[in-house]
Amino acid sequence: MRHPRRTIFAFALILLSFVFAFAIRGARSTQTDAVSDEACLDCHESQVHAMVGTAHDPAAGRFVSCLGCHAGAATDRHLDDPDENPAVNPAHMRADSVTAVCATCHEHPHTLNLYERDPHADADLSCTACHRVHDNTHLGLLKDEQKTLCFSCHPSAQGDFAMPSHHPVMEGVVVCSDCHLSVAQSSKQRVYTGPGGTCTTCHAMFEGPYPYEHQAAVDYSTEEGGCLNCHAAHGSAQPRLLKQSYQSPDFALCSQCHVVPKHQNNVNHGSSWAGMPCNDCHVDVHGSYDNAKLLDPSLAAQGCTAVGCHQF
Amino acid sequence: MLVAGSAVADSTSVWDGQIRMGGIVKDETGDKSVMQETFNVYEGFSVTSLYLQGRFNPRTHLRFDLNDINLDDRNGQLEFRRSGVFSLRSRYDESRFVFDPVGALDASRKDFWSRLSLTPTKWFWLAADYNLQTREGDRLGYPSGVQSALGTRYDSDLNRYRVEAQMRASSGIGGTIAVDGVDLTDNLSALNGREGRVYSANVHVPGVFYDRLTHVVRASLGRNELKESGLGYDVTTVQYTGLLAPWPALRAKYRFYGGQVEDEATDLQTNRYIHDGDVEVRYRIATLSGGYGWEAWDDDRSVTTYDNIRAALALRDPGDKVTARFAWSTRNKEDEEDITLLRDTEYARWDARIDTKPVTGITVGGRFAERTREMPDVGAQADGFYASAYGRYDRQFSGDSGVDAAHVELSYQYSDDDYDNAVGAYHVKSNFVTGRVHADVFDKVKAGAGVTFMSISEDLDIDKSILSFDLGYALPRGFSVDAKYNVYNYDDYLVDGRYYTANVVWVNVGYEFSTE
Repeated sequence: MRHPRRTIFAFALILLSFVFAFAIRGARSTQTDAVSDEACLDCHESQVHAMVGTAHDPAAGRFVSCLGCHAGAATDRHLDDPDENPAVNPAHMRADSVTAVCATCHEHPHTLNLYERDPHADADLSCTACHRVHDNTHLGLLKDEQKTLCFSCHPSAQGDFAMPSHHPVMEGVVVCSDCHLSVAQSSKQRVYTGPGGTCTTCHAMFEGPYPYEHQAAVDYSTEEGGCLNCHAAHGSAQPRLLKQSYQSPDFALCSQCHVVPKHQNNVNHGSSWAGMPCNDCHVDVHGSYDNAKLLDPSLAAQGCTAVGCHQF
Repeated sequence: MLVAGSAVADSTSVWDGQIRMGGIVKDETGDKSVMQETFNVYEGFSVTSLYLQGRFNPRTHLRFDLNDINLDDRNGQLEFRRSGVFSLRSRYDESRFVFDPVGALDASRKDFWSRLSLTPTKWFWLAADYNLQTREGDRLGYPSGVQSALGTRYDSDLNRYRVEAQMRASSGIGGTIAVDGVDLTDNLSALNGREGRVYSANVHVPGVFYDRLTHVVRASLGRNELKESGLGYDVTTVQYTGLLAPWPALRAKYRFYGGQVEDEATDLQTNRYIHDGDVEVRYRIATLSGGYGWEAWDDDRSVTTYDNIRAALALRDPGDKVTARFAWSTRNKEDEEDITLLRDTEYARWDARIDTKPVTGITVGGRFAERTREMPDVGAQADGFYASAYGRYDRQFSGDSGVDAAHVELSYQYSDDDYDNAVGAYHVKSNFVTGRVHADVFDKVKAGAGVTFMSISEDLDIDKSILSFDLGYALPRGFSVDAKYNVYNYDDYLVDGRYYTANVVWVNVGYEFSTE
């Protein structure tokens, strides 16, 4: 029996409200006003202008105080004996603890991704692995330009983007977060599943739905895989980011899934079809508006559907 | 009014800026479609960079960064912010893709993105994103001569937007509600026009029922459809994640995902459910984690289930000089009814990495990974092997040595991908080396050199290299000159005529100023 989607969504909202209602009673505060910013800056003079120009600047006088990030159990005693009672430093905290601190203000999906099954969180990397709040003028408070920052831990990607066919990350046209922020868990909300939804952020013409689908190209198909079945997203030695060779006689890219005996060397065709690319006939490889075999609609005019021949 | 009111300068107004302009000489020969790195290098006069940063007053800041401004190209970013009130960020890029060897068939992409964030109160934030991407120009199908379903021209406009509201309480509870929209107009084929909208919500609740238990709940509801036919699909998702950390040394997590897609094109409803849990234990320098996930996909026609198992061991020395991580994971798909084309799939991966900082300024590391994917019913298997090593040296100098700063990095990477299909096979190996040397000398001179070399072998035989040399000199009164010389080479030894060589020289004159 099909469940109306609105019922599921309504259930989710009820669940959210339920949790919210209990939370108001049970949650603890994460901030304290026991110590003023001036008291902190009396000793930490070098930090007076450390966040100028950013929303974290206490001088902005809105939301953020030193204790917004650096509060801990020993905060009250820190002023009396700083060495014995060090203040909390997010740079030395566990990843999930840092996420908890940042998430007290930053409730958007990117922050919450770190709570879920996220490779960075699994490697104990939190917001501070990529962002630096103090003394930073980079956009988004990133520690460095995106590709430099990401390549420092992911050097293999640098080789991928040097491949003959690649997304133009090195050229600065695309940045890592164009794909990798949306492919994180937050994307599950906006699309049905994984990477394919990221691809269609820019390549929307392949998004579907197509009346006749190529199941391998559909992310929510039980054949699984989507775009990554055929394309290597970073870079490839093959044109058009194709993972495998698309050359005669085997056309490996298609042969990884399709084995059609006597398909190209059929006696009725003579040798004229031998070695022809699959998409010479099956033009709509991403999906068709015309027929289930993804064939070129003009084939009928060429006599392919004549009596005794193919009935597509 | 908000912007104008914010941009009132006072005595604390401070500005820094730099402009560099000059010329580019590009001498190329061969197949112009093989070296993507030169697609957007245009010969002639160019404003290489125009950068302005500063503040009108202590709370109002502006950053303006333009690059490669010439008759054929332009890129830039803008950020305007009033701390704690609003921020406006915009980005614009143009890029070109060349399809044919002589460079006569190309297509351009223009991408504009902007985000406005408002923070009217401590507990409520608003943000809106807008993105416009246009593609126009020529297109060639692949392989050459194939009639592509996308035709021989691009002419499309893709509009995307997102509006979100974040709310948070002083207790740490917060949430977001958002709407995302998309509208694609293909001016060459109405069939491709699409539009969609997704409504979503998150809630983050730390400390409910137990102060070491954190909850994250997400839900979404949306539709995407073809504009001409009205044919579409509806998407509904719900996710819950619970994170339990009863002691500092132990963390456990459970995630549930439920999603449904109703596809009017195929008249199928696909339901997907995921249960996933993992546990992490810390002891001294080691962190051991393991997890298991189970998924089910049901599309009214077939049912597939997945098992995902993963484990990892991470080591970190207390002085942060050495970190290492070993990880292993498998993901096995089972076609419960044996009616999909690919049937069962088995996937396994393991990888190891180590990073060390033996002395100040030096970082050395390496990585090894191996993966395999097998589809036993289809008779296809793919294996991949990867190994890399890198070293970096960064140092700031003081004293009279003449060298102010130095940076050296070198990395090597080897990969081997082997595909055995039911019919035929594909095997490719690659060796990749990249290096960079840079030094700041005598407060005036910046010099650097770099190399990128790639060799691809087995079923292919391709060499690709980029050499770069750059030199800059600071003149009095904020002026400067700089020059860069790049050599690009590409050789495909299996395809006649598929080679490329280019020598590109950039020469710029710059001026830098500061009001401080």
